[in-house]
Amino acid sequence: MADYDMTDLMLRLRDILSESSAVYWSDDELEDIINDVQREIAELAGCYQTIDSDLATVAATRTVSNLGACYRVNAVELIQSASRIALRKILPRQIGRVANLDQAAPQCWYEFGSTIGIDPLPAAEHTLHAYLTAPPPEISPAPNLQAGTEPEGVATDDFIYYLSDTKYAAAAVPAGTALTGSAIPLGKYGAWRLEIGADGTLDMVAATDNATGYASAALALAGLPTLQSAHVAVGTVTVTKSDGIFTPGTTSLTATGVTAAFTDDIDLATTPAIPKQFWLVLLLGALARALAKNPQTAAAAQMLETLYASEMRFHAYDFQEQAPDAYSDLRYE
Amino acid sequence: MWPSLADARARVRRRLHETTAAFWTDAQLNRLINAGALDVAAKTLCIENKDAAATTKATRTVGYSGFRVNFVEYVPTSGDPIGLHRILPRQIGRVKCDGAVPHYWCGWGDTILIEPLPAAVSNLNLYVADWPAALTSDADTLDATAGLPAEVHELVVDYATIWALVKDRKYAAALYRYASYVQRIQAARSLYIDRRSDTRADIVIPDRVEIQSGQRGGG
Repeated sequence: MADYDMTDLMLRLRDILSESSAVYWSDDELEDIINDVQREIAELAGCYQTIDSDLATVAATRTVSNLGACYRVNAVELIQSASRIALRKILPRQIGRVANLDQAAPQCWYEFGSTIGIDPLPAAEHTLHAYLTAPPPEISPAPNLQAGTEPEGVATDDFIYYLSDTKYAAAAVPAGTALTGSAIPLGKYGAWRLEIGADGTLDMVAATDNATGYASAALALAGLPTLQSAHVAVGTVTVTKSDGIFTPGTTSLTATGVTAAFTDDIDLATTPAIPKQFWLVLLLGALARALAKNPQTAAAAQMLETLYASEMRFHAYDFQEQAPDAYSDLRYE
Repeated sequence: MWPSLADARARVRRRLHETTAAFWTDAQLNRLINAGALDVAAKTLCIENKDAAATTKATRTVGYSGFRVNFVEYVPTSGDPIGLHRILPRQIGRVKCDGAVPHYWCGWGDTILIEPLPAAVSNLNLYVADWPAALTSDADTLDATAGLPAEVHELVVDYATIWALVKDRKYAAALYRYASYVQRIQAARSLYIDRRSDTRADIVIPDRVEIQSGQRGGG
């Protein structure tokens, strides 16, 4: 458990709810509440900011429609080989009416629905970067790699992962996914990486030279092959056995003489993706929503909801209202 | 000894009238005290650190860790550092740049954007409002460990007390303390952090000073 990961967030929530383990509030319920409140904060405070650099205009098409999920487009930058310039934001009623539009390159943009429109009508493909406020990725419980209940395998808890912006859920594997490949010679190190794709199957991928073994755990990890395409890494395992060879899938990871190191390596938001100043606001909002479930604490929930709204406004203002410097801010006068 | 984690916890316990752990465990209060340090630092922006950073060639973004960047300084390979001008993303490419070195910056998510697009590695100093480090052992302190200045230490105890009272469903008492806490947070931010520079007018000895009726506490 790390500070403010899902386990820690639930622990802090349960501290105040005076329910140390799931009875009235299930873990799934609290996880949903925490992710719902995080999304709400990101939406209302505009605090999860990203840059979509995969955008391009299409010749003779006004709209650019492959925007990633976003709440709002804040700025659009035209990427050219010699220069980069932010486009002017307009409204659709100004299309064709903005001065100096005799150039072929995009000059202005507007937001409409889930697309942005470009003026003048693009005559060719142009690369754009968009500065977005977007929904944050869900906070996922860590996969928490460890020796399985069948100790020749590597157990994982349930977790979520994303492939090409699509969310997938992986179920817990308490028995463990078996290590594969060649045996590790006595005293040498071997490494494996657990990978997962869209089909939800956990693949155990061995380092290329496990059969010879590596002189250290770090060298073994460096020997792992490139990640399979359309897969994400879940975690890594290194193993050494001081009193014999280690046979993957046969030797127990908890056997005498075996030293196994498990590392979660998933590229996921295991802590809230919104800025850190909003993390306690997130807990406050989640506490209010959790207390609202119980009619006896509805009044308290209402009070906390008010505090939550006020705290969110404070931080949202602080986060958003960073005005540009005026020349007078820099001069001594 | 104040302001250690053990002493902060003892202060919270005195306010809660529970001198030894019963309804509130030490671990729970430690979590609340650390959350208090985070809340106070987030609201007052009082942990001020100067972090070195560098641009990457052809990459506009520079990452940082902390609540936010307040100022950015460009450090040339020779000559004196110079403060950069803050802009907004919509001003990219529309501001005057004299050469290819960093002139402007703006915050975006957990990065800052540099204008013009860096043509090479350039060194920067980032004046950051930072996160507090966690207090993990009883001897860890709010100043040396967490990095909080002395003027806000008591606020951390206030925060922990408020949420401990919520756990005990003493909502009215918690709300009273919360109102006082917010007021003192705002005062700390205004007194110690929200600064402005002197103008020439500020440092000139005035010809005469007039104090209007009512400006000296109702005189």
